[in-house]
Amino acid sequence: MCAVSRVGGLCVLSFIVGCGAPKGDPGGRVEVHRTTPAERRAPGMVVADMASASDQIAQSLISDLNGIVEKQFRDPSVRAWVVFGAIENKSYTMPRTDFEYIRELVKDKLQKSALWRDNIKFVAQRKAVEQQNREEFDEDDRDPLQREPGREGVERPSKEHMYYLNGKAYGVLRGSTEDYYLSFNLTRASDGEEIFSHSYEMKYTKRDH
Amino acid sequence: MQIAMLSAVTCVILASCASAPRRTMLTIEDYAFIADEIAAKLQADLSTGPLASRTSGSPPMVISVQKVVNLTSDLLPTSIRRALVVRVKDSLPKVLLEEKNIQFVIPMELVRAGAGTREWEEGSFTERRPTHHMTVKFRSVTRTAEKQRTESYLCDYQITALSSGELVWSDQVEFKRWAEGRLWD
Repeated sequence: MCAVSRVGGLCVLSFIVGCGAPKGDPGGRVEVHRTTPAERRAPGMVVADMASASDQIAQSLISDLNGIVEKQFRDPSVRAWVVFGAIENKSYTMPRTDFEYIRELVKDKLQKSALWRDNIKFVAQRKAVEQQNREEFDEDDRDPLQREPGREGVERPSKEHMYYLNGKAYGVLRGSTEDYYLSFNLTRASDGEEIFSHSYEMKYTKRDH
Repeated sequence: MQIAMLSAVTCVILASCASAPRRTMLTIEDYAFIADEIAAKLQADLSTGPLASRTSGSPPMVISVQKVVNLTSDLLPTSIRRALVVRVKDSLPKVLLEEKNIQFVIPMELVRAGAGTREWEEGSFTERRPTHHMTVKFRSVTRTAEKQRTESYLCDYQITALSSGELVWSDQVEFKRWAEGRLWD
């Protein structure tokens, strides 16, 4: 009985203490371009700058596109294919997924441009497409000779007309200062020549370091 | 007995402090916001954007919708992962789909699930021939500093051709959630 009343007393006390003014801020949904306190203090690029980097890379690629098609494409009448390539992450503070995020933003901005769509098509990686087809048509279980016509494999152009969109990210950390250097490029699949490259650099001084 | 007392007190403190969530997880309103935004964008692109050139005489675009691929740190139950795509599909006017020769077919995942429970009669869906997939990828960028947290979400919808993997349409919704303080404060 004594123990029960002790628990009851403690509950009442803790309820009173616990019901004090709530600490912190529940926050909520905000615009991407608004920088939050966590971003100002945590290591890594601010999200607004990631969006800005993607804007610059996409704009630069679209503004250079006519020249690229004329001078770099082996046959300007053939629509080139662009596949997501490698991301080299040496930022030390940001996960690779952050750069995949930037690349998705770039892709969306490029895809919105009619000039881009007229000259280039984005394609998924061959393995991903093969996987989708296996799931749809159970091709794993079928004799390759018995497959439906037109489903023999994933359509791919000559490597002369195929390019990889690669990304590189480097970070330099000195005390409370962080410097990030991003670079995205288009590399021809046949000979590895970089036909386009754009970089973005940003420096921060963060309070928590 | 002491452990029991301590547990009871902890529970009461946590319960009494649950005035407002201090977390950056997606809410029900966010899911509705994402689906409505994308539905509006897809409808606009069918009328005036990249898909506007399609007509009733264009080669059929037979789309199988796939559930959301979750690359965030949030847990997304299957119901939400499906609802996010189905809601977009259902919002498209039938007349517009007919004008553009676009059809949606039952996803293979549901065909298989139904076959296991004998919901479908034998021989069902043998004529099913999807040409495209509608896929959704959910990504996030997280920044945390002591009691402050921000999660930037990017939800990317795309339609790709199954024959080549060509991206024929894509659009995104991006927003941030932030919070300050501990869950139990």
